[in-house]
Amino acid sequence: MARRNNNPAQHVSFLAHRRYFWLKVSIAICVLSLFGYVSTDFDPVRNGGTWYGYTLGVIGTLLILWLSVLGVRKRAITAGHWSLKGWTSAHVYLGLSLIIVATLHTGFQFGWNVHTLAYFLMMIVIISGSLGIFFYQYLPQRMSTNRSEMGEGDMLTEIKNLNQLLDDTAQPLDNQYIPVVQKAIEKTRIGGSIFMRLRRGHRRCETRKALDFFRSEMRNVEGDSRSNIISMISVLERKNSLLVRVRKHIRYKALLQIWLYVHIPMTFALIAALIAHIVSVFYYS
Amino acid sequence: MTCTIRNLKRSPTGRESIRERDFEGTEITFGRDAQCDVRFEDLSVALYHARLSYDPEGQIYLHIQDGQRVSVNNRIQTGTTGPLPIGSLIKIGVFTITLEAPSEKSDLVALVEENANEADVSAGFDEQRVFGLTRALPSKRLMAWVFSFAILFLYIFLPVQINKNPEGDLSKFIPIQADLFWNSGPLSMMHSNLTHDCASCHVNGWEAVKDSTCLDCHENLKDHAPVIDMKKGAPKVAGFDATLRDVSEAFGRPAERCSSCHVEHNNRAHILPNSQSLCTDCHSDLDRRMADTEISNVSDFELSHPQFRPVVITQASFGTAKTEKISLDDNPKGNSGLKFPHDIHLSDTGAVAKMAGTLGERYGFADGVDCADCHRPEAGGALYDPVSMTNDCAMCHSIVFEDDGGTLRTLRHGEPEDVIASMRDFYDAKALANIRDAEMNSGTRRRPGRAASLRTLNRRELAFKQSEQRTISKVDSIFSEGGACYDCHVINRPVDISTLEFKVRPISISDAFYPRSPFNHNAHNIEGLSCESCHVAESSKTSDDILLPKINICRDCHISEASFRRGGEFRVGAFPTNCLTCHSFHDGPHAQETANMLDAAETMNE
Repeated sequence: MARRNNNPAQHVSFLAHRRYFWLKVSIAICVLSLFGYVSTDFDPVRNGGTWYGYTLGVIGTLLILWLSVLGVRKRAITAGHWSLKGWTSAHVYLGLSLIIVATLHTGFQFGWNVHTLAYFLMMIVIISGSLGIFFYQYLPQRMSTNRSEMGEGDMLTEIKNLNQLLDDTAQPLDNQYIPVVQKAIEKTRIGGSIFMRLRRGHRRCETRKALDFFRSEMRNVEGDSRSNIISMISVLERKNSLLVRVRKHIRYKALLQIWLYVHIPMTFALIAALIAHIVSVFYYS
Repeated sequence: MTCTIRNLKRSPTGRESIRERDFEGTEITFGRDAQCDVRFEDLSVALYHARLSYDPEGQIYLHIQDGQRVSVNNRIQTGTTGPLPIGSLIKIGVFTITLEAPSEKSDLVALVEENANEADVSAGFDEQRVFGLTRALPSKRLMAWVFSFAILFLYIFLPVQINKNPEGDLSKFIPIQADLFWNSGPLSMMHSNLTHDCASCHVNGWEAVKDSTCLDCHENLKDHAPVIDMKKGAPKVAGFDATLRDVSEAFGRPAERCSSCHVEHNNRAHILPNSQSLCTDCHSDLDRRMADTEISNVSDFELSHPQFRPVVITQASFGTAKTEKISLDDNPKGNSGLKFPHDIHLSDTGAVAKMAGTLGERYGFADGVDCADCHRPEAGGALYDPVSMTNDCAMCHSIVFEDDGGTLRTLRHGEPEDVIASMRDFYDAKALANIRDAEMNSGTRRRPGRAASLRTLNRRELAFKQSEQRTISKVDSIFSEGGACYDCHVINRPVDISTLEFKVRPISISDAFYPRSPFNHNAHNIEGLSCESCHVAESSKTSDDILLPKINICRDCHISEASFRRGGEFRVGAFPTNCLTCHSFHDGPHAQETANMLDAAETMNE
C-alpha cells in the first residue's frame, strides 16, 4: 500500500500521502494524550478543568479551527508537501485524532449541557467525514463501471431520445394501450427528493410498469398488434435499463454529496458551540 | 365533391408554409391510424378520432368517435356536433383545425396546424437539478448560518441575559433557565439546592467564585492554621506548578481559594477532598520550614505517623487544670484526683466481685462488674457519658453519715461545703433537741435566782460545745482514711481541723484526649472487638493510668492507602486509612474563625 511514489503521474490516495505521514502524526498525538491521561494524578477528579484537561482542550480547539480551514484552503490548489492532497490527508487523520483528544478532555463526564453538545456535534462532524472518506474510497470505481463512458448530459439526451422513440413506436397501437405508454413517457421520474435519490431501485417506475404490462399483454394478441407490442417492449426494455443505470448514478452521486450536507453545517454549529463552551467556562469560572 | 386540407407549418424563424391536399368525397377522417385521411402522430389522439362531413346543403358536422372528446370552439364535445360555422376552431390533441370558407373547387376547407410547443414529449430535464442535490436539500450555507446563530443565541445570549438581568422581561418570558445549559455537572448533594440559582455562587460574570461568597453561608468555618503559618509551612511552589499557578491566575482563577480544594460540578463525591497529599504536601517535612513547630512530621499513617500524644491533665487544681500533650510511649500519668483502681473493680474474685454478687441482678451485676456497668455511650455512640457517682458508684459506696433512729442521713455528693454545713446543722440540731428535752422534762424544782440561770446557761454552752466537737470529729472522719469521701477523693486537710476547711480535689479527667481527631467508638463496634481489645484496664491499679491504645493497636487494622492498593480486597484488618480518616482540615491546631483570619491577612497585606 505504502509504495514509494516515484512517478508523479501514478495516483496515490490522499490517505496514503507521504507514506501515511499524517496517520503517524495522528497516532503519536493519540498515544501521547493517552499516556498523559493515565500517568497524571489528578486531584480530585479527572475533568476538563484540570491543567491537563485545559491542555487537551486547547489542543482540541486549535485542531478544530485548523481543520475547518480546509474549506478555504481547498479553493487554492498547490503542489508539494503542503499540496491540497497533503492538506486533505492531514485533515482526515488529525480530525480522527480528535476522537481521542476530545474524549480525554471530557474526562468521561457527559450531561445535558452546552459542553456535551459541543462534543456531540464534533462527533457528528467526524462520523460524517468518515462516511465521506468511505464513499470516496468505494463509490468512484462503481460509478465509473455503472456509467460506462456515458456523461450525465448523454444520459438525459438518451432518455429524451427513447421517449421520442416510444412515442413513435406507440403510434399504431390500439387506443387502450396509449395511456400506459403516455405515463411511461410523461412520468419519467429521476432525481426528486433526497429519499428517492438514496433509495435502491424505484418502486413506482412507470416505464417498468409499462414493460410488465406489455409483456403480459403480448400473450393475448395476434397479428399486427402483436408485432407492434413486441416493438414497444424492446424500446421499453432499453429505457428501463437506462433508467436503472441513471438512478444508480444519481444514488452514488447523492451519497458522494450528502455527507457534506451534514459535515459542513455541523462544523459551523460545532464552532458556535465551542465558542459557547469556552465563554461559559470563563463567564461562570 | 372535394374537401381540402391546408397543412400549416411554421419554421423556427417564424416563416409559414402551407401545403394543400385535396380529397374526393364528402368527409375527412382524423386519427392516429395510417388509414385516416389526416394522420395525427400524437398519442393523445385515438386511432380513429373524428371525421368532418358536409351535407348537400353545405352544412358542416363533426362526428366524434365514441369514447373520444374534442374541443370545438373551446367547448368539449362528444358525439356529433354541428352545423359548424365557418371559422370554427376544433382541437384534437396538439392539433388545431380551423374551418375556412369554401373555395371554388372545395366545399370543405380546413386549416390544420400542429402546436409545436406541446408536441415535445420529453422536454424539461435540467441536468443540474437531476444530478445535483441543491434542490433536494436546503443549502449548506443556509444550514450553517441557522445552526450557528441558534446555538449562539441559546447558549451565549440567553444565559448571559438571564445572569445579568434575572428579573428582566426576557427572563420571565423564556420558560427555561438558560444558564442551566452551562452546568458542567451535577452539584454535590450538600449544594444541590442551589442548582437552579447559578448566581448564588457565580456572583459576577467573568469572575472566579470568591471565598467571601462561600463564607456568606459557612460563616463559622475555622481555618486550618493562621494564614502566616500556612504560608510558612507550605512548600514553595516552583517549576511546573508555579507556571500552572501563574497561568491560572492570568485567567482570573487565583490559587488557594476555597474552590481550589472544594471542586464543584463533579458529582457528589469530590466536594470534600479525601487525599493524603492534601496534608502530607506540608506535613511530611513541616519542621524544615517551621523549625519551632510542635507538630511532628508525618507522611503516612502506617509508616511514619508519630505515637499518639493525648492531652493529659498533669496537675489538677482548684483553678484551671494544667494539661500537657504526652506521647503514649512516655507512659503518661494523669492527675485525675480520683482514687479508682480498675483492677479491683474488674477482678472476678475480690470484695467488689462479692459485693456485686450480693447486689445481683438489681444493678445488672449478675455477671460481675464489667465496663458497661459504669461506662455508658453518649447519644450517637461516638464517646461515653461521664461516669456518675449517683448512678454508677452509690449502690456500693454509701455516703450515709448517721443512722438517725432508722432514717439514714445521706450526704450531698459533689458539694463538700454543703456536706460540712449539713453535718454541722445536724449535730447542732441534736444539741438543741437535747437542751429542749432537758428543760421540758425537768420535774426537779429549783430555787430561782442567778445560780439557776447560770446552770441553764452552762448546760446549753456545754451542749453546743459537745455538738461542735462531734461535728469536727465526724467531718474529720469522713475526710480521713476509712471515711466515705476519702475512699475515692484526694482531700486537702486544713492544718487546724477545727476550722473544718477540708477541701476535696476536683475530679479532672479529659473530656477529649484527642481534640483534633475525635474518636468514634460506634464506628468500631464490629464483631471480634471488645473494650479490652484496645483498653488494658484489668491490670490498671490507679486512675492516673491513661488507658489509651498505642498506635500499633490501630495499625493492626488500619493500613495506609498504598498498602491497601497493593493488598487488594476491603476487609476488617485491612482498612485503608489516610489523614482524613481521623483528622479534619478546618479545625487545625491553631484554629480560629476564618473570617478573623481573612481580616488579619488583609491587614497584613495593607
